[in-house]
Amino acid sequence: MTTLLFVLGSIAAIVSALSVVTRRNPVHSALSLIVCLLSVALLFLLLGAQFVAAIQVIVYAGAIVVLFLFVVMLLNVKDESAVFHSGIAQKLAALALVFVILVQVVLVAVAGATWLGKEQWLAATGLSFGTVQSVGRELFARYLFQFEVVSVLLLVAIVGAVTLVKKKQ
Amino acid sequence: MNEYALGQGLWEMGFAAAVPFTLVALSAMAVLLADLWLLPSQKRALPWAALAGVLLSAASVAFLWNEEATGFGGAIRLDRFSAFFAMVFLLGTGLVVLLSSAYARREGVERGEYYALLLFGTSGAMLMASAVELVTFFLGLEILSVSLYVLSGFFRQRPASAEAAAKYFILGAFASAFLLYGIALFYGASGSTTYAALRESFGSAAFPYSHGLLALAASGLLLIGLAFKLGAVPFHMWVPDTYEGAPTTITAYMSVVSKAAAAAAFIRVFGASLSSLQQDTSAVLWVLAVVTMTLGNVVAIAQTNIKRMLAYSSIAHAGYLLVALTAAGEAGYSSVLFYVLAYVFMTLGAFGVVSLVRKGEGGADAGAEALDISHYSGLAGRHGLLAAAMAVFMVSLSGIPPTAGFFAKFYVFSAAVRAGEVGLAIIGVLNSLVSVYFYMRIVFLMYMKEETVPVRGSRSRAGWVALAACVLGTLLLGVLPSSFARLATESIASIF
Amino acid sequence: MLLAYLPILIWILLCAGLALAIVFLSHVLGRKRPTGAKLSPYECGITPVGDARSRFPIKFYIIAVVFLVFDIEAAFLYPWAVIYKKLALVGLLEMAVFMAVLLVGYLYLWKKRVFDWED
Repeated sequence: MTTLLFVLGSIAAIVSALSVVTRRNPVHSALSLIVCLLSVALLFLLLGAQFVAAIQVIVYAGAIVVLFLFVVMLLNVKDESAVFHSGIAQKLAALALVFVILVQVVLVAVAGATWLGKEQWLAATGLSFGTVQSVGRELFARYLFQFEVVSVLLLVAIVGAVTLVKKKQ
Repeated sequence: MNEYALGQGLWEMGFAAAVPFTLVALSAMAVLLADLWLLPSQKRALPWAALAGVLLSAASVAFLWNEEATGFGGAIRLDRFSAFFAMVFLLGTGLVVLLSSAYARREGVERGEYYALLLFGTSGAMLMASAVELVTFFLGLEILSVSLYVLSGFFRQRPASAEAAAKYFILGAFASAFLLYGIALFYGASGSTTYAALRESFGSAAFPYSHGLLALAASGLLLIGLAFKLGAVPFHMWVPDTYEGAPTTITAYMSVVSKAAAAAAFIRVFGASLSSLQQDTSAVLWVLAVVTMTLGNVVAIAQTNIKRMLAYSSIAHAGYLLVALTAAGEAGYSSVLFYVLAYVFMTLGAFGVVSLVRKGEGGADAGAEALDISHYSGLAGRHGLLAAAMAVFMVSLSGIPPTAGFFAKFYVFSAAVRAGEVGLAIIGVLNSLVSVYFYMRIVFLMYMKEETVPVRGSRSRAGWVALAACVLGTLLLGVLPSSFARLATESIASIF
Repeated sequence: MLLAYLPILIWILLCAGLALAIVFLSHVLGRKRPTGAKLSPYECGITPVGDARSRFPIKFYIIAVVFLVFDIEAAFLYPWAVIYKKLALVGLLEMAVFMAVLLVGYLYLWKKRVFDWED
């Protein structure tokens, strides 16, 4: 059952990710991105990371894609294919980069698995690893300073957005 | 005692380590809020409020100078190294605030956000230098970066400024992604994000090969993120356009504070924690150093805009910093600290002069910034003091004694020789020779040529105080380098 | 362990089923007497002519960014809320500091009249 869901989720993620970069219409790209993010959320769920899965849906598939769509509407480019023109060299470079990253991901997975050993992985990814409670325990005990610093970063983001966009009174 | 660390006093948790950061962040918020209730005529108080925040934090650093503390379960550390860099950042910020007090008003950007974001950026830089944990370091980097993205686009009506912000933001977000990927790999490899855990996992040579591969991949990604902040070739694409388009005072701040912060984080991660990988990182850094120095110096020759020229000059100086980082060891790293301090005075001074010089009467755009190198022709005749100050900074940047720049390069290159990198030191010296050409061209124009376009210097008292401080610092470090060098060595010793 | 998510799956299926059923049933059971006005999309008085992608004012964008920031703030509240009792006073103080910093941002937005739609 888990394997079946994993395969389905991964296929959906890959197909929708490809659709994000191949659509000419950026609105279609953004909608494909939602599908992609939801499939990845499913994969997180399969790994037992329920909190990350929920955040993926709430913050990414919800708020961030909405922001993307706003930007698309804001710029209001009538014919995007004229703007997003890329030559064959760029496409080849992108393919090469994707290949490098793919190789790296596989290497990392293999290296990590052989070094840590299966037992340790299972221990680390046990049932309680990704629950909201365990995330909270880490966040508010071990990472409490970092948690407070996040508020400063968010404040800077608010100030920055308003400074760049809001008209002078 | 339960696992939530109940009942522990804040001080026992090592709050001391976060005091300087907290004070800067709080003053940023105070400036931000104060601005909301200030009348337009009271906006002149903003730079002084920001300066008070800087001084307050500097006082706390001075007070804690001999303390050592690790805060919040190994997130942030106060030691001589953090204190040294905190002082460098606060010094740089203080001088930029002074320079801004006239510049921002003249350019019509005297707003609370300007000073608040400067202080926020400084708090981020301080986090980067004092973090001993990867997530804390990343948050510091993001606070600094987001502040800088906004500040470089602060002239919203000017396309050049918007371009500066957009380029910096898009490439910066990309670099952050690389960095974050590296952090994730480190976490995967060692099961923790603290530098102490990194040292434990990779400190001995006994870790298995696959594990080493993981560490190398992670180091490479982290290196890309830091090289971007440092403005090293080939991650320098944003530097010329962003430096040119951003407000001049912000350009000065960017080149000093964010470079120093990247160097500090580099030393903490690669120097103090991952020293077992040093052979591999040094090989990469060697190449980066050579191409960065060479490209920066050679392309600077062809520039006609003074901000662009200084941008390429700052790329070249990132190359010298990379030479010191390649040399590694206590000598190499302490030369980085000395270099950073010298760099604050000479670079801020040079950009400071640029921010004070304007086109004079007669032209259609009188009062606009005089940014073309030809505008500096004959500056000595009209503004002797400004020209003299600029000459001091140019001499120092090209590394001629008796200035800070000479000893900064001297320590860097001798550290490289001591580490056996003779070839690298020779390339560095040759590069310095090339750089003499374009720095001295400014001096030549100012003193030997007739005025072509009438320019006038600002009479801002705060600006002049900042310039005087820069001249004084540049000369002081050039005449009495040994006590500052000792300070740098002590600071480095506190993290090894 | 996936079995734990079964109630959520059932709930999702119920929601989807209900939505589909409503559309389907109204299609089957409703009487159809089409007129020109009824067939036009959004019969609300505005002529539906022109490009669907009209240009948005930037005001929407800033609302979206501010929403994003406070959305992330809310995301931090979930893990705090589920172990709030265990965290006790320390947890309350931690969240108070976090909220205080964001309150500064809220005040800033308020005074900058970001929440005022009319300029």
